[in-house]
Amino acid sequence: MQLMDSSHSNPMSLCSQADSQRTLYPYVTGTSVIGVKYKDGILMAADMGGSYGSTLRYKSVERMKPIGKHSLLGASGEISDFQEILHYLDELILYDNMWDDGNSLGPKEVHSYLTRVMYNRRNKFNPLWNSLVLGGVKNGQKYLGTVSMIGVHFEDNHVATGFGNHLARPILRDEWHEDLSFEDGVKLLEKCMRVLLYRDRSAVNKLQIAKITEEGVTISQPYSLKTFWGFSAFQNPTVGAEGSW
Amino acid sequence: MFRNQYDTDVTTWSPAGRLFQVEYAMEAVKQGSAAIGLRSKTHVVLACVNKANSELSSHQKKIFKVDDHIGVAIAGLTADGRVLSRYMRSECINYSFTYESPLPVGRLVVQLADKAQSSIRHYLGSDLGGMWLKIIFGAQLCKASLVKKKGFGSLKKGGSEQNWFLPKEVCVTLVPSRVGFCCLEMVWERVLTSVQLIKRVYGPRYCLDSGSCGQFSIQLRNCYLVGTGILWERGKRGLKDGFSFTFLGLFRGSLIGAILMVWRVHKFYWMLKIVLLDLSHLMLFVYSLCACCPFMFGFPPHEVLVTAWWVCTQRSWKRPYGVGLLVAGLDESGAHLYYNCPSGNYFEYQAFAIGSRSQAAKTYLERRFGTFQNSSREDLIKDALFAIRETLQGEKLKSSICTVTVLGVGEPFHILDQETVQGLINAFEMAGEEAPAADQGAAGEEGAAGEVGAAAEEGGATEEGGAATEEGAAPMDI
Repeated sequence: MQLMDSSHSNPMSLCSQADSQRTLYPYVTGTSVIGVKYKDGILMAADMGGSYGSTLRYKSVERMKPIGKHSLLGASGEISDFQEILHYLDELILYDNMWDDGNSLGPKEVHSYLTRVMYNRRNKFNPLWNSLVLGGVKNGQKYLGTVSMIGVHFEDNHVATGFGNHLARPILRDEWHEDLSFEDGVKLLEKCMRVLLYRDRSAVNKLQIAKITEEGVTISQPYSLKTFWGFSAFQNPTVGAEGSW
Repeated sequence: MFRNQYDTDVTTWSPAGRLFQVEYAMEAVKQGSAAIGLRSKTHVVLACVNKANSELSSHQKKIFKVDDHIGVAIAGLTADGRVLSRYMRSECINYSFTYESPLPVGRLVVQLADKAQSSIRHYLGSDLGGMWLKIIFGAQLCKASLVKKKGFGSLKKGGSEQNWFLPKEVCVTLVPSRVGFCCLEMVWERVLTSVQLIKRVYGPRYCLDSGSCGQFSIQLRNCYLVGTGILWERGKRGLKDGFSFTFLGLFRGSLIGAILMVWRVHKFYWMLKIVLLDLSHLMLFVYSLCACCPFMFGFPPHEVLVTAWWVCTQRSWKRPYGVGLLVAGLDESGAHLYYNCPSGNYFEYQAFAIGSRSQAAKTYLERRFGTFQNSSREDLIKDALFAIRETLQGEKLKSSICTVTVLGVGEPFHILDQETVQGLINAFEMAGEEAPAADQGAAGEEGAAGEVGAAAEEGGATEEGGAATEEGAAPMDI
């Protein structure tokens, strides 16, 4: 680079390219994630849809990923930001492994780290447009927490993001109890996911259930829920509607 | 150790492959008053002998709480120890903030060791440690009246703005830092937050992100300056927009180097901070900067304020730390005790003692360390007190001359108060003293530190290995 020309660049020129670098809207989004604590660890469910606005464009998006040895992360919201978060966590876990000293970052530490990242970005008015669910087990201790895109974070026995907050949490409040068995946990999650499937327009009928225990992470193969549409009100729906012809 | 021609500089190796300055630093540790540490599976106890300059003064603080789960005892240059414990505290607190979890002590110890090692490696030129130059050059004579009153010179401008040339003379006054600072403060108060400086410097055709490096070269009369620029974004490193360069220049056959940072402090003023290797290159830099100015900013400076002051010679990267640290910590895998030495090595110990007359304590600990792993908390404290007594060589053990601290599972790091310690001392002394009495006979030779069994446990302090066997005269004797 040669700065040889003495051309007089205007000292007061203002080119505001800074603005276009901020996140203003999400584009490809995932819908709710639900997580519950059960007897052996954490169970999490999320469907595999990536919506492009109102179009259900991508139907095989994995929205839950294992983090390190002890954690599982599920995300709703902007998928590209989720991929960015995975990149950050990848680096975090890498450096943690490089210490090679027998210590490892547990779910609490990862949750705290994510909170710091999300809050920091929010302060710069450039948020990562995600709601995250972080669950894990370390040394027998189960941990389930959530972080929103503005940095609101807490831990609880059952969490949900997006529409799940409105549709799934009431079900979980009623039916969750300590020491759920694996089958009961899955049944509970499926019940919530079915309600979301019926009522959330951005849900797709292809979901995964992930479990994390002391042994490790298992993410199920994608499968579909059975739905029932044979209600009498759906037969001949326009009968009695005014102005129909 | 005797003085020799390889021991002036920490960056000089001896032909035998030793760094004498580092070994001398370890000697400094031996001069400090004793500190001992011992651990069981669940508890760690640190204890030290309190040294006071006189009866009138308070004693030197040698044990620091770093976090609820980490404490450190120091021996040697206590000022260095204080600085290092502050570093440790800030590392712990930063980790806690980000991860809401205690920093594993093994990692802290490694970070400390890395810091000690890097302080041995870096060395900056002149005896005075380099010189900070602050140059503010301004585009307009806004503050001229203020400036002129203080007696600063201003550059002569020649020709039109397009054809600017090096001035024949630059009136620059070097002022002592305090005076200069007052002027600078006033300018600093009006810091603009604009990101465009970078864009202006590199022009619209360069799209550089913050953090990227660019290379450029500026050719000036009689001088060829090549620099690598590092841009940083607003807020990073506490500085507003600007850039930094490392300059390597050839001027009339001599090589000059400097680290240079430029940033905007005011609408019309830029600040330059230069770390020069040598005062003799000061004027050259002022010239070059005046010449660079039109290329970089599009207009020549109308005035130059220069203040220079010597950097205090106590720079962390000039000499090794002269303090040994006994780090006691608790993490998921239990209690740990580490020793960090000035050489940058660290070791984990079941029990250890450092400082003057520590050999006596080590001998005691060696005989008893087999029982420590499963000791109860009280037994551990008792052993610590006995070990301290060994170092006192006959002086009566009182709670006023020692400090005892405990850290354990369910028990955050804390200092035992004087009454408790005195009570424990009294209790132990009542209970009989056969074990310590036998020790005192054997103890005696703490001077020959290189001896034997203790040396095996000191293990990898390899620099010490060869040197310690030849005691004789004090280290700095010429």
